[in-house]
Amino acid sequence: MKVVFERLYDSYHHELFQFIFYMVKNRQVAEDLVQEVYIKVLKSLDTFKGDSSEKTWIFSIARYTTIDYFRSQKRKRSRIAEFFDWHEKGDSLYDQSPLPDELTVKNEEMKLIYRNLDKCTIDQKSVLILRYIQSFSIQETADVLGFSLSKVKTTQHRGLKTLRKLLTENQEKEGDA
Amino acid sequence: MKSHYNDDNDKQMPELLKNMPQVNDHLDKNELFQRISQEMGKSKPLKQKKSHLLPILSTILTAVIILAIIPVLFNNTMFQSHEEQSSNNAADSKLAIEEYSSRMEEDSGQSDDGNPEFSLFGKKSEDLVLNEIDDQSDVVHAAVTDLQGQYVIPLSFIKQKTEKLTGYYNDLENYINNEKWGVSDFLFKGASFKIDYTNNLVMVNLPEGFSLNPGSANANVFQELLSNMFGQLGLNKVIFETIHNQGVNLGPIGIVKELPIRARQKSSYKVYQASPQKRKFLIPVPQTGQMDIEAAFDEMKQNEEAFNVFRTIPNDIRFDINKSGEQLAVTFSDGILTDTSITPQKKNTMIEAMLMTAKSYGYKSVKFNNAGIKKIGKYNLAKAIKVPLAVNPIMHEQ
Repeated sequence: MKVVFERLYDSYHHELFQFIFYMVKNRQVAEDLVQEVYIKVLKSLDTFKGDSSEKTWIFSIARYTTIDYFRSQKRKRSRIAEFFDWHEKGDSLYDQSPLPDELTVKNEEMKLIYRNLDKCTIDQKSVLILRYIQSFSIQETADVLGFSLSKVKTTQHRGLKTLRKLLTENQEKEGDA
Repeated sequence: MKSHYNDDNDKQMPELLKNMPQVNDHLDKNELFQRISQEMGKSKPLKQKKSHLLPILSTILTAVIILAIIPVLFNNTMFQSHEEQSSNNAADSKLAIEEYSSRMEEDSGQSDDGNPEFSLFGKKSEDLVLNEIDDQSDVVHAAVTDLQGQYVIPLSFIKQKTEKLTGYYNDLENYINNEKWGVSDFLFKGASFKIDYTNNLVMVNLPEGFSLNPGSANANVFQELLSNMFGQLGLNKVIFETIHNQGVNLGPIGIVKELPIRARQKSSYKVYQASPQKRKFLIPVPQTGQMDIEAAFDEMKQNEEAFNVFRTIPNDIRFDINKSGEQLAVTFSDGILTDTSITPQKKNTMIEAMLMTAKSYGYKSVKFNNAGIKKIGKYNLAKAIKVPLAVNPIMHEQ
């Protein structure tokens, strides 16, 4: 198993970790989810049919694992919300996750993009991360997300538009202040 | 003030995103491998313990069977003996299943009017939903997960009303053939169940040493499995009976003594099949947020190949939706279902998956309009079709 793991690690680990990190924005959670992805991949490598590339297959597992994490977080938050009416606060708490070290040295614009990625839909966020931060092709992105090529393009367009709008609003607020 | 983030500057936002910093994992490769090895090894001890017991139990069982059969053979009263034992729960349930299977075959034979769409009903394995049962039978709901533990696969068994429900639940592990079907092992192996209708709860006694593997998915799936098994009986709580009443460790949820049974989730039904040789199942893919049924049907056109989950509505199928009380109307684009490139089995699966999806949204029946054909499989499209009683009936096992 170690040989297989090492091959997968050497081929995909950096990209895999980075994709999950940008999705969940929490280093500890990203480490746990990456571990979960490797376990799923190692357990089902025998059933991998080769219809898609190994890379897009692994990333599609990573994507569903992060979506499942979001679902579990949502359920947890709604359970807590049954006792305490802190929906609003719950959302704002999520936005306050610390910036990664790599980003603290970057300019305000980068930090704003990082924060506002969460305000896109999960599909838009996935497409933007895969296409621009991970440099995946449109075809690779479509394979990972199970989308058609045109759906990737539309989602990418809408995601960029959402980000543009959010940054503009922020700029206007600062102008008013 | 005019913003410099405007639509005319198409390349600016992609450039900014491309310049986002590279983020590295600080965890050492070897340490990660050790953690993964540990996690992968954790679920094995219970299985290994059981597999050691298996040959011994098989030997004892064989000896008992031989001892029971020899006198019967000598007295030449094998059939009488079989009848005498028919009050036995297991025999009753097997009988119910066999009777049901043969009835299904007769039914499909009677309704075969030469329409090629009917020919697929000779194959029992292709029945992905249970439409009706007679008044002497009940449905028992069970659930397993796919091989990666990502999705819940609901199963339904038929039992005779005379047979005790609790006994059937306690025997469930014997009816689930996980390796042959390409699904995960039954999570409640060795567990026992007691249903308390007075207080609308089920008490679950888990085997000693039971624990869930850590991971965000496992605890949720555990709760979903229980909700699928007992939610339809009108129960609303699971109580875990453990030694010293210390509760059960459910990973991310923590140590719990009881769990609420969740209401049925709105879902898109897709096909799960681990490999072409394995059995097909219809599985509910839960919908997030306030997704309406149109979006749920759209989701059914998407494959999730990484999980061996496949679309149930072919990409080219177009339709409009009309909601009227408890009935849903699906109006197809002209003649789209006459397309012969879509196999009869796929059309049948599409109807069954749409019916189950409609059921999860609270509809009682669905009327399919403008299909271009009168019947798909056993479904007469001239009338509104009632949503199924249950999904993935296990008729004869297997």
